[in-house]
Amino acid sequence: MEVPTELAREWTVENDFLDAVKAGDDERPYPTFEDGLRYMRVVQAVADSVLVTSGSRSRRKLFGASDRRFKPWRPPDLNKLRLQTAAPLRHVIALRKATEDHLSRSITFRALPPQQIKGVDAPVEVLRSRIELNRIRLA
Amino acid sequence: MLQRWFGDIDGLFARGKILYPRSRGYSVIIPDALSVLCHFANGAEGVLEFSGIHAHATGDCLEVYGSAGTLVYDFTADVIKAVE
Repeated sequence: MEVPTELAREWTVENDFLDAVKAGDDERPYPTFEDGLRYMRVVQAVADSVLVTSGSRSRRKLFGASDRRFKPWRPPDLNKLRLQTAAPLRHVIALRKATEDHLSRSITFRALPPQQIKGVDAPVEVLRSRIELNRIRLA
Repeated sequence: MLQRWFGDIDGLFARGKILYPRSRGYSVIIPDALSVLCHFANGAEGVLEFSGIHAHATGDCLEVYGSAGTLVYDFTADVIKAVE
């Protein structure tokens, strides 16, 4: 189906995300980071369930893996599921102080030496992140 | 949205299938048919059906059946129907 010209717009998701981080506003939009993690846990649980419940042909199509890696299905424990994140859990990230403050409830940050970032004049504070799973357990 | 309205989901069972592995020149890796049975922490049961290939579908819809009545939200028409 063709998209009407008046409804067409550019893909700006990544830029919107970066703008939101750079803004560093104290007032955070919904959903919060913690709510986003809860949402991603459910999405990951769906993917894990599909992995072990669908037929082998579908599994290969879905995940490109052999059948030997699959175990019999059991109810998933959402608190023990691996998190699906845009970056590895121990990835080095750069962020503003306001964002660090907001995320500090769920993530432990350790300061690394400041680094020069392309397009930014002053060296940027860099933090190594570690998500504390036991601090974002479901109620 | 479901979690925002009804709280955490604490258990689920899902099946998915890729019915058309190729679409518009792309290799499809996301299931285009997905069914989920889920349980909410508040005791509610959920049946979620997603399809990206359902021909002549009636549109996206959320139905809530409770002890006090029924709510039906038609996303496509942006209409909410309620029965007590």
